[in-house]
Amino acid sequence: MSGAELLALLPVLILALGATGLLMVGAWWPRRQPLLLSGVVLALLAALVAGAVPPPVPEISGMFGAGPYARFFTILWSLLAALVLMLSDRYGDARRFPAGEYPTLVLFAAAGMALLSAATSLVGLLIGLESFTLVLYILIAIDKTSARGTEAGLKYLIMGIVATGFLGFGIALIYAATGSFHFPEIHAALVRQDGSAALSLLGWAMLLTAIGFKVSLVPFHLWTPDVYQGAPAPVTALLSTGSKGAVFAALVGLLFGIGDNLASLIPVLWALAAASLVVGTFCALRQDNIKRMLAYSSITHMGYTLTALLAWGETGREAVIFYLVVYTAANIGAFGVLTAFAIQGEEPQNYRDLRGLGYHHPRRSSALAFFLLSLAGIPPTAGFIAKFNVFHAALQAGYTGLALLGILASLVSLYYYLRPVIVMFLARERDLCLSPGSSGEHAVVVVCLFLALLLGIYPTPLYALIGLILP
Amino acid sequence: MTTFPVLTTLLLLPLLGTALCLLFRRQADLCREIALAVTLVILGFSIWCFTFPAAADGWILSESYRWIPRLGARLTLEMDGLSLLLVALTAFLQVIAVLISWHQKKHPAFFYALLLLMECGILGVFLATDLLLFYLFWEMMLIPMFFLIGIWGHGRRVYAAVKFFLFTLAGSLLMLLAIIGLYLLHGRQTGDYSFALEALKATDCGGLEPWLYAGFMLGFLIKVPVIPFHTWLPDAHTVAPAAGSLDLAGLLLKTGVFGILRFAFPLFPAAAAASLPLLATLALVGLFYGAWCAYVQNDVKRLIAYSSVSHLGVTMLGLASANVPAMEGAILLMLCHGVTTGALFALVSMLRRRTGTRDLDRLGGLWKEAPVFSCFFLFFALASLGLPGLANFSGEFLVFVGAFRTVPLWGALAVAGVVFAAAYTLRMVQGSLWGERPTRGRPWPDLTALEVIALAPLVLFTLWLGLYPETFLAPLHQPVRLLLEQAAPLVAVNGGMP
Repeated sequence: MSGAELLALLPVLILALGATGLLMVGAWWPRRQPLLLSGVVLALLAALVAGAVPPPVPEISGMFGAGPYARFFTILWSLLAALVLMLSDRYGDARRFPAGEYPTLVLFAAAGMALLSAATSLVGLLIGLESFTLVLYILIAIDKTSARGTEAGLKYLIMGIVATGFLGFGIALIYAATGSFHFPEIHAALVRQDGSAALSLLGWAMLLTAIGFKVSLVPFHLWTPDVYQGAPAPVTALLSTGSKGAVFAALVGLLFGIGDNLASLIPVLWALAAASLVVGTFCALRQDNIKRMLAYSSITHMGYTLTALLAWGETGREAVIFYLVVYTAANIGAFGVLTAFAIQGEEPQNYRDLRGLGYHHPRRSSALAFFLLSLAGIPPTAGFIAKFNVFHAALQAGYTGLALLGILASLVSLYYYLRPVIVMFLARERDLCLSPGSSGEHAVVVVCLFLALLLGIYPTPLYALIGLILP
Repeated sequence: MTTFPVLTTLLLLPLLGTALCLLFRRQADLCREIALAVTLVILGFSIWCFTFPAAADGWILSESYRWIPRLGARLTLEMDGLSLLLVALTAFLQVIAVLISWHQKKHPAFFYALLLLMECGILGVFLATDLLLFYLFWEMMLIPMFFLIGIWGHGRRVYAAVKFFLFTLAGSLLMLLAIIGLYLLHGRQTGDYSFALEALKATDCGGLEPWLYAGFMLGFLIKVPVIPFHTWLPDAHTVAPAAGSLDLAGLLLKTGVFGILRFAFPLFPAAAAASLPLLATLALVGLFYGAWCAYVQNDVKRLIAYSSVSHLGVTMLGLASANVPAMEGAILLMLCHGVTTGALFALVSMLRRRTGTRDLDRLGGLWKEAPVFSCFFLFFALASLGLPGLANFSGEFLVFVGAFRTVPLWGALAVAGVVFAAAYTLRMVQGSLWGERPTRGRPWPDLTALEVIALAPLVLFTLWLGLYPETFLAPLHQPVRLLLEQAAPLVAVNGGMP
């Protein structure tokens, strides 16, 4: 690896090396707050470097891109890590998260996500994906006092290993069929279709299965609700946004330029999207626990993202990226509020715990309501424009059926997104005073609120940015 | 025309009011005053709009700014005679809504903030001529109403609020698909991707036209509401607080009719022309069914809610008749219905505050105990029934004339509907005002000065609309003529321009 390539990798290096440093310091000087703060600073620094230092080479070792697209996601996931760390201050204190390890793991996760989003080869894809899922296994189970957390970690581990198996096998088959790991060469080989189409198709199917597990598309979604519920709220925030968004970002890179060469995949993707929309929606409807509801609804959101991806073309890819950003903001915001509500021994998760919170904690409850409305896609929230893009792309590409299904899912989704709002504001009040929340948590909620509102009424800056980075 | 951005100001003022109410949420009195001041200023602005002359293309005021260039969406606000009247009605009724909620004790700041936010949404719906912007406002007015019903309603408020939200959203989401479909069609044909109403009118929809039209109409008909999409209305009305019912009946229902006039008919004239008989049938069914349901209700508020379904049936018949008098009558009737039914809802809320009931079986003898209240109630009930000289008569009369001109049978049936209106209105008045009170107790107090002040302007407008409707018809002549000219097939169905 040349010096230029190392320089191009600098933001990820800051995250990874910084995290290692924090781990060492944590071993000798286990003070939670300063270490968390250093983690936030490192993540922000990585984001700043990714934005300010132009990469000297377009690609790193033929594995990761260093172009604007890769940089955009490096910034996004670094900021996500910073937000998650800011959320973890009081929450981590109450649950005695290990001082050094926790921020280290979050930063590692961000580095892994950044690498995954930037992957330009199947090896890069594997490295990126594994480097952050490995971290997530630990993060999910980091609250050692919680039996649910341990169980969730174990579940995610087992599912993750299966997915890795599929991924490795799929990569091997695609390599066997095309003779390369590098995306552009794979595409070129596909165009030639030199007698190994069946092998390659099997490889793609395995790859898609692994990805289905990672982003919890139906029917690979069964782990999602348990893991979401069991993981600590800030970790769930990371899990539900970054880990899925990074995979989709990689998918956009992977499938870009594939054109009609994999037309046989389209029905499969269509079915995955449709099933995710339907099953996610109807399962979310039945939940009494807000984290489980968000878990199932995330399956629906992945269905929307896949719909946009299917629509392909510039509009489709633009819709995917827009959706990921907006979904990340709203989801982090929602989990941010849940984190802020959580106190020692009680994390209000069931709807009955939220009763009347709208009057005891009007600002945070209103924020949660706003995030839920954004996830539901009601104007003037950013979620509306994001869904609009998806439907726009789907109709443009001729997927009217999928668009109609999306509309129906959207309508039903309203019911489960409104339920917490109803419980908070419309149900009879209950005397429940939770902690006032820390400044870090409030800052995260404000940032997400700002994004969810601004992108709803004035999305132009994000469109412009996406226009610049689109591969 | 003025260079001052009147229309933008009209939308920003309520938002400012919302922000102020939330900011000073601990000072209930201040919030009330802010709400009143803001609504009065908005009313002032909307009256000022009457002083501007209309251009040849019908627009009195128009403003357009960049919004989302990537999608071709612009922040286009335009006002013609039709929107002018509805904007004025909105501004006027919102002042009344604030006045009749003066006693609001439960979370007053949040209440007024929502009221103002809804005003912004409704004004936006009447002013936006960019379809994406219109949709934004269209959905935006739902959220405050959802909370108004859900938090300040009584009885099965959560059920009613959710039903209201889901019903109206179901329609509008299909409308969204139709909007995107039209946008893509237009873009493919011209290369210019735009949501501007004027541009989209030129789109050749081909075989898709009936589908797109149906998408739009479903959204609007649910809001109107036309049978069989009406079931959300009685529930929502019955439980909503006074200001909520006033806004629902006076304004929200009008957005549906407005949408048909402004968007559905001009965008898809051929499909619209083909649908007129169906619309007329639905309208007539609604007229009779609503009246019948109103007649059998015991709850006064529910009775008035069903009477709205009936009145809106007459309005829809006016649209379906598609000629100048019928359309002008329909729009006039919207205004009249807004004023009279709004007043009746306000009165019923006052009644409930005094008597603790809205049940006709437990009311009676009000004339003796609360004469001022009874006078107002009788006055608005008679106006709602369509007594000549009072508001509804002028609108209904024009609709009947127009309907007779198109299909005499429609007109004849609609006139017969008035008998039904008389039946339920008289039953309501008889049950509440006359006779003896079934239960003894302390006398019911009469209206307070503030309540009289809130109702007096409504009386004035009821008389004005009934005695000299030309004031309100004058701004309509040009827009209605333009609408019928542009939507030529609509007129062709009925044998040319009258």
